Amino acid sequence: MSLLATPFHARAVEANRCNAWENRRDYTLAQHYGSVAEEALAARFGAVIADLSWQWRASFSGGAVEAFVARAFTRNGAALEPGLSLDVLWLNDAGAVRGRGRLVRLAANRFVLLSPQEDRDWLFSAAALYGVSASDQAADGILALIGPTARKILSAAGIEADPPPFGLVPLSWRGLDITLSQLGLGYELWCDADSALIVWDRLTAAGRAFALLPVGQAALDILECESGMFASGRDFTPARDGFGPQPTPQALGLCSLVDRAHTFNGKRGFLAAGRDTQLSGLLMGAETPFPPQTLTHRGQPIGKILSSRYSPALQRMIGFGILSGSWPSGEVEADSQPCRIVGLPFLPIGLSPQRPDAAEQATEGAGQPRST
Amino acid sequence: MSGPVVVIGAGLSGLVAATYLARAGHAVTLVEKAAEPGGMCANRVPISHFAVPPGPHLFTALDPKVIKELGLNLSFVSRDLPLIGLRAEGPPLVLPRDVHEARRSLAPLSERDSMRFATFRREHFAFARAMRTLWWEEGALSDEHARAELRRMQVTSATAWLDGAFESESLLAAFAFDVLAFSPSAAGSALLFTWRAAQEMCGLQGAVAMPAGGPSQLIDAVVKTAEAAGVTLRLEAPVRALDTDGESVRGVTLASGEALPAAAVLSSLSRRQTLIDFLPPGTAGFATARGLEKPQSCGEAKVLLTLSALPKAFEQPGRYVLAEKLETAASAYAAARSGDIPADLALEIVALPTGATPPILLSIVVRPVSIEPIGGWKDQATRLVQAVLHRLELHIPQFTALVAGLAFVPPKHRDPFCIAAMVSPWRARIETPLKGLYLCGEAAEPVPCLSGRAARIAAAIVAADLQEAKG
Repeated sequence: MSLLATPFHARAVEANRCNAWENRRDYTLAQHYGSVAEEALAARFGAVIADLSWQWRASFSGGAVEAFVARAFTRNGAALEPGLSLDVLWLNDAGAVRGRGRLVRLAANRFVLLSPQEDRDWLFSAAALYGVSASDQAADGILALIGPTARKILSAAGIEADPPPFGLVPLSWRGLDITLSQLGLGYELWCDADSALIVWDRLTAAGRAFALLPVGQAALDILECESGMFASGRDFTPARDGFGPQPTPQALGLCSLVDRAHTFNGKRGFLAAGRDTQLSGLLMGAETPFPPQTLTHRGQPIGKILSSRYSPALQRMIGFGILSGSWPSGEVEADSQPCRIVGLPFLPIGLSPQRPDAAEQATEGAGQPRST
Repeated sequence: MSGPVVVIGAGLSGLVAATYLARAGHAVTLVEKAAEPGGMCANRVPISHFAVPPGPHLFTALDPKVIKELGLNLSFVSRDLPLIGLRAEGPPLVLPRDVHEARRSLAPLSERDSMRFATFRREHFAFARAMRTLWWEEGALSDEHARAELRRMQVTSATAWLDGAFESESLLAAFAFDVLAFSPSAAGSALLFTWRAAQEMCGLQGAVAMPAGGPSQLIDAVVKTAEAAGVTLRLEAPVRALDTDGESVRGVTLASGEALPAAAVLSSLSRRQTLIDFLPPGTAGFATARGLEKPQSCGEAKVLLTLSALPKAFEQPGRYVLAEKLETAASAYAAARSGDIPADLALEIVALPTGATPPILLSIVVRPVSIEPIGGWKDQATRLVQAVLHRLELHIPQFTALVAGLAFVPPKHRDPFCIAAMVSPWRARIETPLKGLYLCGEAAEPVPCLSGRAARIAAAIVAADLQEAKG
C-alpha cells in the first residue's frame, strides 16, 4: 500500500469513519464514507464534494507547445482559447488508444492534461521532441463540487464567478488564489496543497445548510458512469505498446473524440482501423456486473459490452457497449440476459433523479437503427 | 507515367531502386550529397597512394536477381571464399563450402564436431533455404517444420545455439564473429546464422565474394545501368528536409533550397536519418521517434593496412577470422556497449591485391566496437589499431614490419537492430509511417547489409502503389 496522500487527506480521514480506503495511482483515497448508494444519490438531490487530486495532471509549456498538442491529441488543442478545454484521446503510432483525458489551455503557451490514468513516459518524451517542458502537477489539490445545489453553495461561500462549460477561471477567494472550473460532473476548485484544507473547510461550512456530503471514489465512479463518462483505466484498458494495434477508438466507440480533419499521432492507423462506431448505453436485466462480452440480437453477435456497474439512481445495472453496423431497436441479449440499448448519458448530473423509464424516454431514438 | 520519384542516396541501394523505377517508366531523380556516387562502396578512404571504400570488403548478400535483371555482368576476383579460423597454435581451421573438406579440417580439433558438421550443415541450410521465401521475396513459411524451427530460433541466443551445436573453441569463435556486431546473447540472435547461411548457399550471387576491381566496380556498373535507364543523378545535392503535409510526403527540399516535388520518395539512408533528421518533430510517430532515439550502441570498425608482402598465413584466399573464445564474446560485447575497447576483439581479415605498390591490402573488420567510445574515436582509434596490430603480431611474427600504410574507418551509426524485424514482411520494413515515403537501403533489410534486394523490392512496392494511386 502506497503512502501517498492527497492534500485533502487529513479531512478525508476525519470523515471516513468506516475506514474504507482504496488505492488509485498510489494515492490512498476514501472508497466511501458510509454508503456508496447514498453518496451517489446525494449528488442528485443536493451536493457532494469529492477529492480529484489523485488524477494525473501533466503540464506542458514552452517550446513548440502548440505544435505538440496539435500532434499529440486527436482533437486540435492548439485551436483552444485560453481558459477552455477539450475532451481528447491520444493514440499510439498504430492508432490504438493510449489514454483519454481533458486538455485545458491555461495560457497562450501552457496546457494541462487531466486524466485518471497517467502516461508520463509517452507524452513527456513526445513533448521533448518539440522542446516542450513537461511536468507533473502532483502536489496541487482539486476538489469537485457536484450536484444541483452546487452553485448555491459556491455563492454561499462567496464565489460568484462562473466558468463557462468546459472552461475555468482563476480567482481570488477571500485571499486564496484558486481556479474554478467546470470540466466534469460539476465544479472543480483547484488550489495549491497548502490551501487545500482551507478550501475543504470553507466549502463544507458553506454547504452545511445544503446537506453537503463528502463522497468516495466508488460513488464518483457511479456518477461518472451514469453521466456517460467512459474512462481510461476504469472502463477500458489502454494500449501501452507504442505500436500495439488495440484498442482503437472504433473498438471503444470513441470516434466522436477524433477530428478526422486534424493531423494527429496514429491517424494513419486510425483511418485504417475501419468504420466509425459509437459508444452506447445498456440498461441491463442482470443483478450483477457483466464482464466484457458479446452482445447478441436473436442469436447474432451485434457488439460488445465493455463495462458495467449498478446505478442506485436508475436502480439497475447499467453499462457501456459498442455495436457494429446498424443496431436493432428493442431488446438485445448478453449471456442470455436481456439488455436495452439507450443513448448516453444515462442520467445527466444536475437533473433530479428519474425513473429508468423516464431516462429511456430522455434518450429516445438512441435504440433505433442508425448507420455507423 | 506517374508523378516524379526522388531517391535519396546514390549508394548501391539508391542506384538499384532508381534504376528499377526508371525502367518501370517513372521520372527518377537520384540525389547524393557526395561528389561521387557509391556511398560506402566509393573509394574515399586514402591509404598509401590510393583510396579504398569504407564499406564492405566482401559481398555476402548480393541479390542474384539484381545482378541478373540489371545485367551487371560482374566478374569476381574470388567467390565462395572459405571461412578460415586462425588458431593460436596449430594450422588454421578451414571451412569451405565443401562439407567433406570442412570435416577433414575439423577432425583434428574435435572428432565429435567433425561427425556432426555434415548433419548440422544439412539441417541448418534446409531451414535457411525455407527462410529464403521470407527474406528473398514477399513469401511465407509453408513448411510446419520450418515454422517450428523459426519459433525456436526466435528465442535462442547465438551463444546458446553455438554452444549446443559444437564443442571446438576455434569453430565456435570463428562462427561467433558473424553475430558480434549485435548482441550475441540476445534472444533470437541465433537467427543471424540462418540469415548468413541463406545468403551463402547461393552461388549465383558469388556468395562471400569480391568483384574484380573492388566494390567501386560494382557501383560503376550500376551507375551505367541507371543512366541508361534514364535516372537523373544529381551529385553534391544534400537533402535538407522532406516536404510533408503532416501525413504524406510531397517531395524533398535540398540544402540549396531547391524543392523537388515527388509522388514518392525513397531513402537509402538510415531509418533515423530519414524519419527524424529530415522530418519535423513527431511526424513519423512518437513511438518511432522513441525507438530511434538511441542508435545501435555497438558495431564494427575497419582497419586497413597496406603490406609490402603477403604474409604466409594469408596466402590461401579466404575470409580469415581471428577470435578468442565464444565465452568471451558476450563480455566483449558488454565492454563495447559500455564504451570500452574490449580485450577480446574479433577480427575478420581479407587480403586483396592492390595491383600497385604496396602490393597487398589487408582489410580488417573489427568487432565488437562501441559506436561512440569513451573519449571518442579521435582518441581511441590509435588504441584500437595498436590492439589489432598486437593481435596480428602474436599470430604472425614480424607482421608490423610488413605494414606500409594504415587507415581507420570508425563504425557508422546504425539504427537500433531489432530481431523481430528480421521476420516481418518486406512491406513493413520498407513502408514508413508517412504515405509516399519508403526506405530502400540497409534499414529495410532483414539484417543490415549491402544486397540491393531491399531496393529491388522497394521499387516494386512503390511502382505498385503509384499505379494504384493513379488508377
